[in-house]
Amino acid sequence: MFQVHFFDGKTSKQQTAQLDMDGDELRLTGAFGERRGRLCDLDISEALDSAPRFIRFPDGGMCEIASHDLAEFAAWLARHGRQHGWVAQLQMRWRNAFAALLVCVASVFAAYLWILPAAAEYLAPHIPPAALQALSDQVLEALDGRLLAPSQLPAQRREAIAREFSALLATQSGLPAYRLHFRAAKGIGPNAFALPSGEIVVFDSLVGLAGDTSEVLAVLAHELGHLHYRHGVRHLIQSSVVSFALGMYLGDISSLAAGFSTLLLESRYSRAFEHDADAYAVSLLRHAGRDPVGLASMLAKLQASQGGDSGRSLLASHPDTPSRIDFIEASRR
Amino acid sequence: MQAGSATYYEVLGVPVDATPEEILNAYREYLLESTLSADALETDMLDRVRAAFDVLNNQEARQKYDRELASMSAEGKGGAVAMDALGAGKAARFEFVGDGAAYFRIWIVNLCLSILSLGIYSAWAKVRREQYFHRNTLLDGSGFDYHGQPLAILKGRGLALALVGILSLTEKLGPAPYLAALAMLFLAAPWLIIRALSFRAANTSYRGLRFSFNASYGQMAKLIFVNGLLSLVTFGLWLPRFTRDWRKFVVDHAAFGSTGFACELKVGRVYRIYLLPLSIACFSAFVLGALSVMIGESLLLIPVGIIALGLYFLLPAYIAVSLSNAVWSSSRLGAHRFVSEIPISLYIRMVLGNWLAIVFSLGIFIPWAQVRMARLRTEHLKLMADGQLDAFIAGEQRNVSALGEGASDMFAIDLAI
Repeated sequence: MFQVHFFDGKTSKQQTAQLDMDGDELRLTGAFGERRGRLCDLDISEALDSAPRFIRFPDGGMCEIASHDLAEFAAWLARHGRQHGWVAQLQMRWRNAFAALLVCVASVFAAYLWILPAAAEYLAPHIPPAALQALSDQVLEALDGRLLAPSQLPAQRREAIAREFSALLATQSGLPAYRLHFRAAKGIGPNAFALPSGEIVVFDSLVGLAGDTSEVLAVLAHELGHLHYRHGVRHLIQSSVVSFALGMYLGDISSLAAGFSTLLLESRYSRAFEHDADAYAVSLLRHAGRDPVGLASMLAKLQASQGGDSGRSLLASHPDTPSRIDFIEASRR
Repeated sequence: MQAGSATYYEVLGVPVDATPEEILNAYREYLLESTLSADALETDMLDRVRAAFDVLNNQEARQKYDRELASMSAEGKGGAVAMDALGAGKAARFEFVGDGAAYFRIWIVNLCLSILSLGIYSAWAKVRREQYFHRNTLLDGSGFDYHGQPLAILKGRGLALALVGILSLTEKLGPAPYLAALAMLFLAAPWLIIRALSFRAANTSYRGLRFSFNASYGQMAKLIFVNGLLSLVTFGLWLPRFTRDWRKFVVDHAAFGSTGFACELKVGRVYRIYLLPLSIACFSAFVLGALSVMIGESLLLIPVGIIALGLYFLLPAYIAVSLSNAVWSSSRLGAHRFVSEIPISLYIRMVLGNWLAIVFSLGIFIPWAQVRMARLRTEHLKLMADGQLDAFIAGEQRNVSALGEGASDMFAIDLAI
């Protein structure tokens, strides 16, 4: 039998009451009279450590079991055939908490390393081309307004590059659709990028930096690799999931911390993509009977033009240049 | 307070043997009076009238009250037994009895289940978190409780997610549908905020009675749109006033059972709270600007970074704790007043310490941080009770959908008072 506090649900008046069992019914008696109910029908709040527990009766009345009676109350309930729920049991022991922590860490790692990349790879071909086209048009339009200007290269030079690139691809089959765009960039270094819809954008400065057309073609082959593997869409899917998850986890604490960790985690994905695109370019060039050394020399020039910092850091979105060059050199042999 | 010692019969101005019709008429007259002249009746008085009517209008409750009244006068206490006239003013203590280690176990188990269920279980996790913090908060020895249903919350989140989906879909359709959808969301915002506040309040209880939040769309729309516009055109000078109006609104429209909360927060007090951090920010910007002209910018990069980061944490924490103290200390529930005296330096140190510990533990410290914060806030809050806490009366209960709650989770709107 327990001494508990009873509240009738109509006023906040606190009344003392006795709680006991009468047959298979729980009985509460006090100055207010009697409340009873079968143990299995009653709403008994889950055990949450030292928090008071409540028994709610259908008429709105409820009684409160104070902290100091909790252990005895739980044992008493168990004796009458009412055990803790499975989650409540999990929450009680340190052993379970550590297991849960391990499962959390393991599943987050698995999701980050394998599940999310695999899911993005699976989903990418199912995104409607119209959506990708709209997205890419939007991006290119926004860039054209601010960072990019029409190309200053002579038309013949541009045509020559386009012609040689399609000649290089002529022997291959199963290539992704692409369109070449030349742009002059304001305030950013030599670069080239591919948009998910198949737009490959090359900066004038990159063409200028290249010694001959074969180096430009090597870069284009690398960008075609991004298109082949649908890296653009996959990156979009992965980074939105990562930033959403981190926002949920750390958003309450600081958006600064969430934003920084998003950047940190995404860079690993980008480095893997760059490596895949390099490998694709190498095999494409070799297949066409070209020497992939053009890609290596181009990478070296790009690095030199950016001030020589190899960017060997966690945050670098591209793998560090020496290791990429080593990879290309190794694949030539 | 004179009215405090009046019986319910005296409050309504009817004889002890009044018929139900007489009681109803007296109540109607009061209501009519209060609508005709807004200030004729204090809100306080209106609450008493309402409480008196609620009891006397109910056959069973009236009989019980009559018995209490009889026993009171028999004990020689002068026959005065209104809702809060049972004793002299005493401080009822709030206490928080949870602890970080226990909450860590609950948090990690529920986080784990949420991850394994791809987020679906997070609705159950949220309910457990609310229950943990409600039930471990005691006032005068009794715990609060949270009654939100996981399925309702899950449904609310689903609807809110669908809203976001529709919004991003219209973005693809072109600027006109997108703007139309944004305008709709804008117009729905007051309604969503009311839903969220109502859901929270209606699912919180103490001593078996529910809280409630009642406000009309028009009131909320006026509050946020007019104040928002004024804050814009005054370049933020109106913001402290907006803050004050918002806090006051949230308190004023809340009730415990049939007893209303009221907030008398002064505008000047809120402006004073904002004045100090703003002056510090302006002063440091000025000093650093002057220094950078004198000794060059590059040397200052690191100290400026540190100072800016410090202010980024300190100033919002200062404002949050000062406002919290001010709002609670100007609020009352019926005739019971609140007093909140969280020490400002202690609060700021705790915010900073929690933040560092969370960052360096990769988030493992989150449950301890939340418990420490809850304890600090709770244990510096007092209720200066005007008599016993036994005499509150239930209000009418309504079901509140969880859409607003889902939307506030989704858009991370902070609706705390």
